[in-house]
Amino acid sequence: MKASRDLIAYNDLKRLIIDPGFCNLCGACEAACPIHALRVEKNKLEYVHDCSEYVEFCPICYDVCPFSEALLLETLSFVTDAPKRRESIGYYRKIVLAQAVDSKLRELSHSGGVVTALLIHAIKKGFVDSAIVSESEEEVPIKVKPAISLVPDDLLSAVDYKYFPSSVAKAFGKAVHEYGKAKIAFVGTPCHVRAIRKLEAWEHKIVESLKIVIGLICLWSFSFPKLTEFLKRKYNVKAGEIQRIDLNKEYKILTKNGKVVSVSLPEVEAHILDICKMCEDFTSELADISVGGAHPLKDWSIVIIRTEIGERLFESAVKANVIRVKNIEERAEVFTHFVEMGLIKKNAAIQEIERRRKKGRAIPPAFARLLELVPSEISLLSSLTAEQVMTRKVMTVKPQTTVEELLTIMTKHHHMGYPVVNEKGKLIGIVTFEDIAKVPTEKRKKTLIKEIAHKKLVTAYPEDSAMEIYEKMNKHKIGRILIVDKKDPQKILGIITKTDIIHTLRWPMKTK
Amino acid sequence: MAIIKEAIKQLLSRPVTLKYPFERVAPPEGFRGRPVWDMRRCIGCGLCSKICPSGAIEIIGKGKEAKIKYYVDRCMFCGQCAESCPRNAIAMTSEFELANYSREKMLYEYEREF
Repeated sequence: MKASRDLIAYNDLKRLIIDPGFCNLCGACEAACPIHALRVEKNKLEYVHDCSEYVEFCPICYDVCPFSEALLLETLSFVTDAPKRRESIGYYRKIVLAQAVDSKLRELSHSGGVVTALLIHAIKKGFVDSAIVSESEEEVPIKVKPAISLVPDDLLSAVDYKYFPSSVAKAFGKAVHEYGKAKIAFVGTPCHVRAIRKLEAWEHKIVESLKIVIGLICLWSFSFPKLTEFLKRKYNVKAGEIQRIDLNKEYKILTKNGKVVSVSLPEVEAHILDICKMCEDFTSELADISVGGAHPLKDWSIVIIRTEIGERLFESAVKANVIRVKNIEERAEVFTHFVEMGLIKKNAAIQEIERRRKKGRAIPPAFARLLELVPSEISLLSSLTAEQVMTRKVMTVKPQTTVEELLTIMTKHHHMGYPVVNEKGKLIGIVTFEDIAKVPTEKRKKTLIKEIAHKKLVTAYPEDSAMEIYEKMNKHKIGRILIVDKKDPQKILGIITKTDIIHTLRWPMKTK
Repeated sequence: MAIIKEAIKQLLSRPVTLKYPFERVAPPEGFRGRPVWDMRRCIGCGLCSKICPSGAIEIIGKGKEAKIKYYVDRCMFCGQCAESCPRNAIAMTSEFELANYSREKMLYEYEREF
C-alpha cells in the first residue's frame, strides 16, 4: 500500500487498479468524475481527456473505486447500526426467506423475484422514482447492460440477473446527470454496492438522489469474451442462444431451445474475473437489503435486511401483499447451503490473495487494506484488552448434540462457531461451520458433535490485548478465539470473533 | 365602462412598487445571490475557479491547504461554481446587497479551519 497519494487521482487509479487488471467496469469513477474525463465503453475504461489540464488536485476517482483502500471503514458506517453482526453475513437486522406474490415475476426471475417485486412496489408507492438494474441486451440475452427503469413496466424486462460485469454505477451517474432523477433505487453486486457506498461516504453530490441500495448475493462474475469463447468451443453453445444461467455448486446453462448444459465449477473457474477471485464479499455486506437465490428452494429468495430504511421498505411490501415471507428456521438446508457458498468464496479469495502475494503479483489495495492494519488501528487495538472487546454471552453446545440439531441452532442464531461444553460446564472443544460442512448430509443425523469438534483450542486470557488476539487469529488462521479464565482454562469467559475486531476499529469513528 | 371600473380599482389599491430600502420582499426560491464556500466540504480541486466565466474565484494552494478568494465585484452570479462542485461545498445564498465603496471590502476569503 502506498502511503502518499498522487495529486491527480487518475494516476493512482491507472497504476494500482487499471494496469494490473482489477477494474470491473463498475463505472463509479465515470459517475463521480466532475469533468467527465472517464468513460466506460465497449468493455474498456476510456480516459477521454487529460484531467490534469482542468484540475490541479482531485482525489475522486481513486477514492470511489471499490478496489481502492480509501474510505473502506467509512463505508461500513452505513450498516453498523444494525443490531446483529456475524462472520460471512455482515451486519444485519434479520434474515428471512421471501418470494414475490406475483407468480409471473417469479417465473421471469432467477429465484423469488423479490428484487423486482420490491422495486415495483417502491415505485408505485412513490418511495423511489426510478431504479437502476441490470438488463440483458436484446441480441445477446446474456450480456448484461445497466438500465434506468422509470415506470413499473420497465422493470419486467430486467428481472433476470446474470453473472457478468456491467456498469451500474455509471448508470447511476447517468440517471442523475441526464434524467434528473431525484429518488433512485440502486441494485448491484457487492462490488457495485461498495462503489455506491464509497460515493456516499465521499459525500459526492450525485448520491443525494440515492434512496435505497439493494445488493445481490454474488459468487463470481465471468469475463464475457473468455467464457463465451469457451462455451462455444467445448459445448457448442453460442452466446446468443443462452437464455439463463444458474450458478451454484454447478454451472448450469439453459439455452433458448431448452437444452441444459452443466459445466463443473473448476472448468468455469478459469474464466472468473481476476478481481472476483480475490473478493470476499458474498452477501453485499454494505447494502440496505441483500437478496439472493435460496438454493435448493426454487421459488424463494434469501433476504438479508440490514438497515432501517431497508426494513421499512421490506415491511411495507409485505404489508401490501407484494411479498410473502417465510421463516428461515423452517428450512435449515437453505441456510447451510448459503453459508457454505459464502465460505467457498471467502476461502477461494484468501487462497488467491496468498498465491498472488507469493508470486509477487499485485493485490487490489482494498483487499490488502483489509488484511493489514494501519498504525493508528494497531495502537487502538493494543490499548484495548480482550475483556473490553469480547462478547460475554457465549452460546455453547453439548457434546451429545447431533450435527443436525446444531444446524438448526445455527439457522436460528447465525453464529458460525460454538464452544462445546460438557455437563459440568467445562470447555472441551469448539465446533465451527467448516467442520459440519465436511460431514455428508446423510450422516448428519447420527454424527455427534464430540466426534467432529476441535479438541486443540486456541485460547486467550482477558488481560491480553486485542492486538495480540488479532495476531493470534491470523497466525492460526481462525475466525474466533475463546477467552478463558487464567486460573481455570476450561471456564469460558467470552468469545472474540474477527467481526468483533473490525467492529471495534469502526467504533471510535462512530462516536466522533 | 370596463376601463372606468379598472381605473377606480387602481386608484384605490396600493401601488405595486415597494419603497425598497424600507420595504423588502424575500428573494424567490432558487435565487442566485452571493456564493458561499463550506470549507469543511471543500477538497480543493479548483474546479470552481477553472469554470468561473468571469474569473471571480481564485484558488491558492492545493488540496486541503487550499484557500479560496472570491471577488464579488467580478461575479455575475451565474451559479456555475456551485453546479460544478462535486461535493456541494458551494451554496448560492439569497444575499444580493453586495455593493461597497471599496474594492477590498468586496473580497471574500475562505480558509479551512483546523
